[in-house]
Parts: sequence; C-alpha cells; structure tokens
Amino acid sequence: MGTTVKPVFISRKVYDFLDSVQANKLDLYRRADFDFWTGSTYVSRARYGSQTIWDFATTQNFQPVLTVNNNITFNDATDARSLEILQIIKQQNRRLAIYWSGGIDSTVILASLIKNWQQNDLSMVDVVMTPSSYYENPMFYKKIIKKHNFNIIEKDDTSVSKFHTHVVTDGEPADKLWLVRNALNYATSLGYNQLKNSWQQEQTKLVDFFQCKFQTKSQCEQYFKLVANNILETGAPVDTVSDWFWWINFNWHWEGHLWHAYAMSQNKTPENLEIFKQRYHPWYNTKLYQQWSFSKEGKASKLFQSAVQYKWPAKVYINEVFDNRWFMNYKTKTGSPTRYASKSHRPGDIFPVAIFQDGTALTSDQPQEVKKFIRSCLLI
Amino acid sequence: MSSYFFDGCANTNAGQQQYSIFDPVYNRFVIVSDDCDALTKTIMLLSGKTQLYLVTVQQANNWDPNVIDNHCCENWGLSRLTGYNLFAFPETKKSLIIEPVPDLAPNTLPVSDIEKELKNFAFLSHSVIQHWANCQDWFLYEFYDYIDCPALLQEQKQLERQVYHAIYSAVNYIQAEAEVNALMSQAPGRFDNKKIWAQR
Repeated sequence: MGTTVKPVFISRKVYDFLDSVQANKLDLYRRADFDFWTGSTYVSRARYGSQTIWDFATTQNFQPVLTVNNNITFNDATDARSLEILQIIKQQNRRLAIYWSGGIDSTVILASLIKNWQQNDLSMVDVVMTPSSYYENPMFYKKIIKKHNFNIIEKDDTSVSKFHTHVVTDGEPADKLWLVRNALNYATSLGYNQLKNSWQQEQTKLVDFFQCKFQTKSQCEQYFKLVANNILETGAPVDTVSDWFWWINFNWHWEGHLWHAYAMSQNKTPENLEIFKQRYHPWYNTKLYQQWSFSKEGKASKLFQSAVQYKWPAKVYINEVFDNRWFMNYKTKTGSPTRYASKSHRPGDIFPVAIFQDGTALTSDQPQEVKKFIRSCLLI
Repeated sequence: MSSYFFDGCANTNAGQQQYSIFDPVYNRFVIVSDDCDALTKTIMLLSGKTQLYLVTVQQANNWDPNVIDNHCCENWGLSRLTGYNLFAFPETKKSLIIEPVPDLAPNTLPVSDIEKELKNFAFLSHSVIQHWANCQDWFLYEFYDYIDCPALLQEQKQLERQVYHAIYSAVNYIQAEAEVNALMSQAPGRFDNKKIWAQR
C-alpha cells in the first residue's frame, strides 16, 4: 500500500482499532452508515454532494444526471442487461457464473436470461448457490433451474470467488434502486400511506423513527440535517418519504456494494483487481437501471401500499417466466444468512479493514498498520 | 373447511398455552394450536412459500380464551409490528418468535384466495407433523434423529422426509394433499401409516 493510495471501502471493523476519542467523534457517521443501514457493513464514497466523511478515492462509475425525464421501464433495463452480459461472455469466451441467493434480485437475472437468451447460450451458465438459496426459493429451483438443467456449483463460506475462471454476475447493487428494510420498518410502523408524504413535512416523524438506532435525539436531528442538506445541494429528485429512503441508498451505498464481492475474495493484489474489474459485472450496475430508479415507473414502484408490492416490477418480470402465486403475493425482503455475508466474522478470522484503489487491502492481522492508517488517512 | 381442521383452543385449566402462526405480510393469524412444536415445524414446512412467525397469543394483554380459534383467527392480527425483525433470514429458532406479544387487533380486510390456501397448507402440515409425533414412541423417534437408526426406522424416516418435502416444495394445495395421501398409504416395515393416517 503506497501512502498516497486512497481507500475505496472501509469495513465497520475499523472501529475495533479506534481509541475512544476517535470513536466518539465518529459516532454519528458510524451509526448512520454501519448500524442504521442494515446490510451496510462498510462505508464508501457518497456519489453526489460535497460532504466528505472519509477521504475516499473516486472510482470510475457512471453517475446519471439527476433529472426525472425518462420513461424507462424495469423490463427495458433488464432485457437490455441480459444482452450486454451475453456480449461480454462471448467477447471473453468464458462461462457465466451467477450468484443466486434465491431472492428477488438474483432471480430476475435467471428469468431474464431464460427470456432473452437462446438455449445453447444458456448452457454457458453456472448457477452458484448455497443451501439457503434453495430455502429461500425452492419452487423456482425445482420448476425452473432444474428444468433448464443449469449447472449448479454449491458455494460454501470458504469457496473462492469465481472471477478467476468465469465472467461473474450477481444481484448487486439492486437494493440501492429500491426501498429496503428501514423503509419497510418505517411503513410497517406508521402505515404504508406515509411513504407518499413530503419528506420535508415529515421531519418530526423521520427524526422520531431514527431514535430506534441513534443514541440521542440530537444525533437523529443532525443526521436528518446531513441528508436534507445533501438533497438540497445536489438537487436530487427527492420529493416523498419514499424517495428519501431511496436516496440514502442510492447516494451513499452504491459504491460500497460494488466492492463487496472483491472484499470477500482472496489475494487482493493490483493484478487481481484488474482481473476482477474485467470479469465482475454486477447485474444492476448499469446506466439504464440507475436512470430507471428515479424514472416515473421507478418512483411509483417505491410508493407501495403493502409489503406485497415490495419490488413489484421485478416480481412481475419473474412471473413472466415462472407463474408463482406465492412469490407474487408473499415475497418480501429476506436478507442473507450472516454466515454467507461479510459481516459474519468468527473469532480469529482475518478480514479486510480497508480496500484501496490499487486493489490492495489492509487486514485485521496488521493492527499497527491499521492504527497508522486511521491517523494518516481518515478525516478525524 | 379443511378436512384437517381442528379448533385450536387450549385447555388453559390443564396448563396448556395457545400459540399461533402469524403472517406479517397480511398481518393475520394463520392457525392457532396448543402444540408449539407442531406450529414451529409447520412454519418450516411453509417457509418455501412465505416467512411466518410464532406468537404465544395467550401472552397478549387483551387475550381471552373465547376470543380466538381456528374458525376466526384470520380475522385477527397484531396491533403493532414495530420493533421486530420481520424481514430477515431466520438464523435461529428464537428469531421465528414474536415477543413481547403486542395486543391483538381485528383485521377486517377480506381474506384472499392465496391466504385461504396458506391456511389449508397449515392444517395439512400440522396434521402430518402430529401424525409422526403420535404414531410411535417420541423419545426413540427423536433419539434416532441423532444416532444411526435401525433399518426399519430408516425407511419410516425416509418416508416422513418425502412427505415433508411434498408440502415444502408444492405450489398447489390440491396436488400437495394428493401427494401426501399417496405417500401416507405406503406402509414400510411394521408401521401402518395408511391405517393410522386414516384414523386421524
């Protein structure tokens, strides 16, 4: 790691190495990015706005202009992505590994390939799954994956990522296009009709809601202000409470989720990062999907009236390939078992505390280096 | 009404508790029973269709022995769903339990066909689970889950797994019931499932 190489991704585990003064200074952001936003076990760069919490490197990623002037549909974006991925595997002459969790996002991938690819192209697909994938979606496995005779690779928590041998795709960063658990909890608690209210008029309710995570009311207010200032500064298309929850995901957590697979891979070297960039194509990391998330359909899809409508356009898309009343009427957020997620570390495990733009990582077995990194690189 | 219907009332005078399977998506109780173990296993068998939770309904402040049974439990839900992690992968048995139990609240929305089908699946599952629990000595049956069991019992356990899998992976209730009955008519070894199942 060179001294000028900036981090792109910092794990929540960095806090294990902070002294109490440093930790207190960062408490609000720690709570905001690590604890409040479930599933975000790390922080990365905010994509829009001048506020910097950490001195992160900028990665080259498409950032759309935030203007709601398009009629893109989820179907358009998904069909287009399947053709892009087909082109990539043909160009690279490699098989495609799909990390299938059984949830809505990764099931869309399989549905899209079945809908848009020829049978001989489908024979180039390996489905990487765990027993929990089957648990989450047994009917799709039985009726679709088995029927199409996809090659199955069983992943366990020690298996090496497939990007050394395959083109790889997965359901990242789909959640950043939608509303996720915190918004569901907000709606469950206050009523789904609250999602369509103006976020500016609902300041009191939002601040009260944050109290389930933050320690003091003052922190809740500070956090609300931080997000509000960013929305006003960037001109983000945020009108409703629903948009408000979406924006936090879209702005602050998009980048981090793109690094998630690399963080879980072994041998983090500049060479391996280059291979990773060439082979890893997270399904939802496209221009069209991003624009869709604040298109007319995208914004409307986040104003659902009950949990049944969670990610509704995606469920409708899957239903074209597999008519499953249970999935349509019941499927919501399930989440991944922690043993398959990076947040689960057993005592003694070595994990990346930070990943740098050159692909190297600072790991938990280098405590002195981590402390040096905290002193020199973090804005505290 | 399901042919596996039971009223689900608990004899509280005899120390029984009333439990329920709860559907958070529609905020309704699916079935009630005094058999906590059978309900927990039913939740597992139905988990391929939706994620359900266990509630000790008796712990609600406004619970009354006469208020809720399987004739009417779908007309009831919970008054509050905040503070529970209802959208997470169930990593432990405890994560399937909703506690503390909030007050019960009427749910006046119409019950959809898919909810009725879920209720039928729940009755079928509960009956099948109780069948296996009742038709032989429970201690030996559980014991042989952990230790290699004699061939005679292996055959029976294999059949039990097939029945559970039929329910777990079924899309359609009528097909699932037919498959379960076909499997139950098999009688490996000394176990006459057909007879016991027919006498339920």
